[in-house]
Amino acid sequence: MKDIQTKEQYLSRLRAALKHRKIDDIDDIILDYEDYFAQTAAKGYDAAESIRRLPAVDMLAKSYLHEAPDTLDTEKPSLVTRSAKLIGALLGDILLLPIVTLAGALLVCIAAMGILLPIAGVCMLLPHSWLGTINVTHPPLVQLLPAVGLLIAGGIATLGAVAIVVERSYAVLRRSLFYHYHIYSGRSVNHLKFVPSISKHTRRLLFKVVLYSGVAIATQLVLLSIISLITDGSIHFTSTWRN
Amino acid sequence: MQNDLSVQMKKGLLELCALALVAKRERYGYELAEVLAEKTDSSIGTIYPILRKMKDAGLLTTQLSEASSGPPRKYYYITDQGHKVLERETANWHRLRRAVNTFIQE
Repeated sequence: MKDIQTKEQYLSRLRAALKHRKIDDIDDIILDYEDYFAQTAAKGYDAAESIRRLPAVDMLAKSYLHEAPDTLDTEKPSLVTRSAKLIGALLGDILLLPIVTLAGALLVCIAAMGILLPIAGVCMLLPHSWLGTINVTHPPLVQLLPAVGLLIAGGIATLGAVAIVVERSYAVLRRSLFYHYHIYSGRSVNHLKFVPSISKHTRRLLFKVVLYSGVAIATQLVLLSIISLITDGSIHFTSTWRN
Repeated sequence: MQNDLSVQMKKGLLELCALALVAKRERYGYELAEVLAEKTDSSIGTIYPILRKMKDAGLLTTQLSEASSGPPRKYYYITDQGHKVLERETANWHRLRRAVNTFIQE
């Protein structure tokens, strides 16, 4: 504020800053600071010292912005208002339910694939598999590797998808219970912050796990197709294991 | 972080302090701002916006009075709503103080 030397300059800048922010009662606010300068002058402070004791004009103007109420007076809303808000929140939940269900079903499918693929991997290795027709001859390394790959990828995908489903379910449950209680009680304290949640970092990690597992599965399937072309044109799972 | 904690603590308590001071007797703006700034180690410029916010919230009311010299003085008075809030928040403050003292002494 080195360029503001006099009381008139400070008040003029303050008036301009308040107008810019569309604050009502600018004259009333300016009167406070005129009184301030008058009082400090009476105490023997010069203009520079009085200005130095005040915040910068822009910062001061910002503090007069009408933000969300954070004064001491937080009256509890009426029972009708709280009930209406609760009903609104429940209706919102009902509308979101189909979307949540679809997303959940998708994750369940990924989890199911993750369970089935390791089984398929195992069956590729075992002789006389209980599935009946899925047998392989003398598995060369080139057939063994995809089986192991499917096992690992499938296992990771399962774990990742299950973890995501559990985490999301927990988050939804936590939010529903405490959010609805918070609405109905009309209290301004956010109870959610007292309930531990899975960090963003962990959630990102889980999503990555599922994504990479999906890529690994797709790669394995491509490899299997290539192998079938290399061997005898198609993968025949009908031969018996021979030593 | 230390500065932020101190600033936030003062922000919350300045309104309570202002209400308590005005409840004892009416005060004019500069007097109120000066006492609060000195006792709480705050900048005097931060007090005026707080007083205004409290006036807008109906906790304080003001009246202009002509001064012998200088601009008219704005005197602050506490309202009935301000009295209720003061009573409530004083009780909250005592509870909070006991709780914090317990934690600090552990």
